[in-house]
Amino acid sequence: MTYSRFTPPARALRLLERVLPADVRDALTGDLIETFARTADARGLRAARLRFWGEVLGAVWQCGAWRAALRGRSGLTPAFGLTDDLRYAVRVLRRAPAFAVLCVVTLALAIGPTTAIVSVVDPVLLRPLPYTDPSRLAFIWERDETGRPVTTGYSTVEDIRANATLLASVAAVGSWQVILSDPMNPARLTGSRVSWNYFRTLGVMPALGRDFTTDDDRPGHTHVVVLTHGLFTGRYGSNPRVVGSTMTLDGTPYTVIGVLPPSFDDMIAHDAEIFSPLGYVVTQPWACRSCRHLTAVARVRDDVPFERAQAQLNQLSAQLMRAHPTDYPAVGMFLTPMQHEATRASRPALLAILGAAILVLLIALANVVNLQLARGMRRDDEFAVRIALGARPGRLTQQLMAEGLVIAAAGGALGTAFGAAVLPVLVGRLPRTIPRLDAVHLDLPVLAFVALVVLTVAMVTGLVPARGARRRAIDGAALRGGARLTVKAGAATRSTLVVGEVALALLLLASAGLLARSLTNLLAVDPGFDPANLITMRVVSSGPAYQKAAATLDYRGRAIAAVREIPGVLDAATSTSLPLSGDLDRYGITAQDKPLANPALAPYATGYRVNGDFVRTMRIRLLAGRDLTAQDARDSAASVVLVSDALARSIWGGESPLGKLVHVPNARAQWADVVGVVGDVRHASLDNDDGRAIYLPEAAWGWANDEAALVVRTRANSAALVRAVRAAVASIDPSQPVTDLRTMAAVVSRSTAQRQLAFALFGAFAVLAMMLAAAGIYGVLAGTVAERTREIGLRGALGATPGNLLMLVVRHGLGLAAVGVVIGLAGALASTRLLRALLFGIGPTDPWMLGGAAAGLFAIAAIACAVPAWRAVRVDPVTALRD
Amino acid sequence: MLGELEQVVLLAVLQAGDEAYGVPVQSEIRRRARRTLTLGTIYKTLARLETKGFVASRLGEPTAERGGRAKRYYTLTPAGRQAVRGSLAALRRMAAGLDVGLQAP
Repeated sequence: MTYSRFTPPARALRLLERVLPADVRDALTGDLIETFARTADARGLRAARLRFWGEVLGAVWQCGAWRAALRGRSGLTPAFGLTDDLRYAVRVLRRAPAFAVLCVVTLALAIGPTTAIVSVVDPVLLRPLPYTDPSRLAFIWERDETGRPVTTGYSTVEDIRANATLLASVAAVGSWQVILSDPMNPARLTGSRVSWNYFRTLGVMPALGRDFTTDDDRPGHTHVVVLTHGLFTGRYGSNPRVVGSTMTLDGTPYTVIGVLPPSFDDMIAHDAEIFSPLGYVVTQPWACRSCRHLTAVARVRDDVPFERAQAQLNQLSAQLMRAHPTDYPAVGMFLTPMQHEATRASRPALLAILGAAILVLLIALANVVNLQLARGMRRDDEFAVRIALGARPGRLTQQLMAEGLVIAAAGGALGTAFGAAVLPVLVGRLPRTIPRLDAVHLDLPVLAFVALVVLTVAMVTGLVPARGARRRAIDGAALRGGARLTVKAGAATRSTLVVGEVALALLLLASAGLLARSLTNLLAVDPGFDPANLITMRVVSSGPAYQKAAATLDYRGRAIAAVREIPGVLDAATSTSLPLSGDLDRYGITAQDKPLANPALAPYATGYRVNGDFVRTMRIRLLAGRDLTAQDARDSAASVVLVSDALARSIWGGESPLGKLVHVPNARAQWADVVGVVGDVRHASLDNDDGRAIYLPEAAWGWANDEAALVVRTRANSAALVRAVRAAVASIDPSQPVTDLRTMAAVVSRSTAQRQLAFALFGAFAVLAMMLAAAGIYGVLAGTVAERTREIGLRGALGATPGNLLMLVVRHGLGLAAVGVVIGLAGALASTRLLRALLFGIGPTDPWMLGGAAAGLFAIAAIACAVPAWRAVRVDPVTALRD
Repeated sequence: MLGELEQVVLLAVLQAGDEAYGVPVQSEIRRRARRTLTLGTIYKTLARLETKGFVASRLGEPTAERGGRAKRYYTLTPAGRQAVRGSLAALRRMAAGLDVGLQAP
């Protein structure tokens, strides 16, 4: 036999040796090791391990009784340790399965979602970023004329690098989309173009190959790339020989020089897979100060507080403003800690959801304590007997805590399983823009959190009932039995708990209501176009065949024509920007008749460079003048634009803009004619947008983007035509990928994803909280009615009508609810402000919403009163008094 | 009279003969009684039986296949044999004269 091939699980062995009594330790462990080897030979390692663990846990379980047996041999009285108590607790709970199951399920329902949300919050909001010394990293933003942070131009980055002595290093990052030509599998890759010191600034070393050097970051020398671990494993099967190989991006060969470590996650572009050097010098036209398309990242020197670095940047900004007054709209820069900035967008929603989950946990805890209390009162006799037989009061507490621990542990285990099941669903519904979702796992810190919750629950559910039980048992009230005319002491605690539950439930209900209202308000916002029956996709034209703008425009024109041939398609057009999709270009627009002293103060507008009838396809309203025509597109000499109503107002006030001349940066012509005014569209988001936009033929632009959004208006259900549209586009040039195919309704819906998720979770939590609160009220009333049966019988005998008795109970129940509602309203007034970032079109203390929540809770409370009240009415005076 | 678990373990020790330590005792019970008892339960019962004076134990030699742990061999004391005999006799008498299938062997 080959015993030495396998070794039993070391951890189990250690556990065993620690707890076993000395005289059988060797014999039993020896037997187990022997059995393990045999089982492994006969039935495999897995079965052997499983059996081993089963045996070890069985032995540990027996240990308490066993020690007692052994001690009995040496003549000592048996003592009771924690294992004995746990064994007893399991037996006790097995005899009360309904109670145990109710407690465990209640806890699991609360612990599950909390676990899932903590799993998300921990890596996304709390854990330090995966860089060296991440607390020293920051973004640098310029300030726009409204005081908001904006990205920066390369020349400014160079000035910061040269003059901001308190920064250890400054890097610049620009976005990069490329087409990977691969005969087997062409793809569009998202990446970043970065200054050579980007990874050094973050303190990240490539896991394979080398980092960028200054040599790579020169114009004409930038054809090297560093890959993320994800691209390396996904596309190249983790083959290390990819380093040094060549890949063709946009028709140009690039050399792969390095692969980043798996832990790397880019905070600027979360989906970035590939990095190449920027290769800018300040003399290039696109490196200008007002060419604000770069994100600046800095590492602040170790011994320097952020405030001092910020002050130095403001000083520098003032100098730059003096030297280049027409390049900056305002003085000042922002230095924002990277961790804070990276989590800014998702923090309000995640923290609100976490808060809601914790409220549900508190309510569940109150409910379980309540159940324990109710049961504790029924067990008075048991406790009294045990005290009378000489159990110290501390023993009762220990016993109740053991019961609490068994319930909490079972609830925790079930809850964790539940949490693990909902976690992927939750992550799937979170917006992709949230950083570090890859790092979301139900891992050790989360399990530690669950363990903490379980211990707290065990403590509370053990200690609170123990207090009352001990007191009553010592009083001996239970043994005297009989005449219980008054409500017992524990009832006060129970009522307090129910009031607390109602208050917390109201808080959740009000919050859920506010979020629901915000969501309906938001979805009722007119986006300025008609998203129904509209398909959108991304069309690309890259590679040597499309070096000239004319080739790209021709490709788009033919694609539009092919799509329009499809039966059921009404219209089609392309645009470089798409509302609510996140793909937006903004330009400062100046009017000839309204010259500005500082051109940097020109109002920014979203620029739509269009082919085909974009305005008609999107069904954007034409308010004045005419639409762009095919003739405008062909005739590149006649430069014409449409402006949105909001842009017209911000430049000309009430004057008609028709016939005015405007300057659009990067357009071919110096001035363009305003030929029409169109309605405002929500470009960036439904809840916050200035609506300013300018539409011009793509041919009037200095160049052609290699990407554009194709929008297709269909007669009826647009989803059915998706395949035909894709085929039509592919028929023009099969080598060019079509990606991001979606209905416009999905684009709109996705722009509200975070709010939808927050609302869905708050709604679920609120329903759960109401059910628990109602169960709490029911429990207290049912207990009271049972205890006051004699009193109620007496009242009946003395002439109380059924109505009187009904009111007696209902008044009690609604009284509790009323106190809870009042406290809850006060809490809601104080705390719904925390939701403000998620609300839209409704105040955090909206009286209708708070009133509605209160009324809803009252109604639920009334329903909860019904059964106990009915039972009180049915009390038969004769039976009640005789018993 | 012996507890049911005590009876089973005592009989298993008898069945295992010279080689009556944990592993064979467990497998005898599994094979004959078709019950899976954990070694923890078996040793607990044996400890109780030893306290009552029904079994005696001695340590064997440590062996490599057991990770250097010694075996503990159990044998029945005369009192133990007496107890098993009494217990089984009682069962037989209880079953005597009952329907087919319940009769003791």
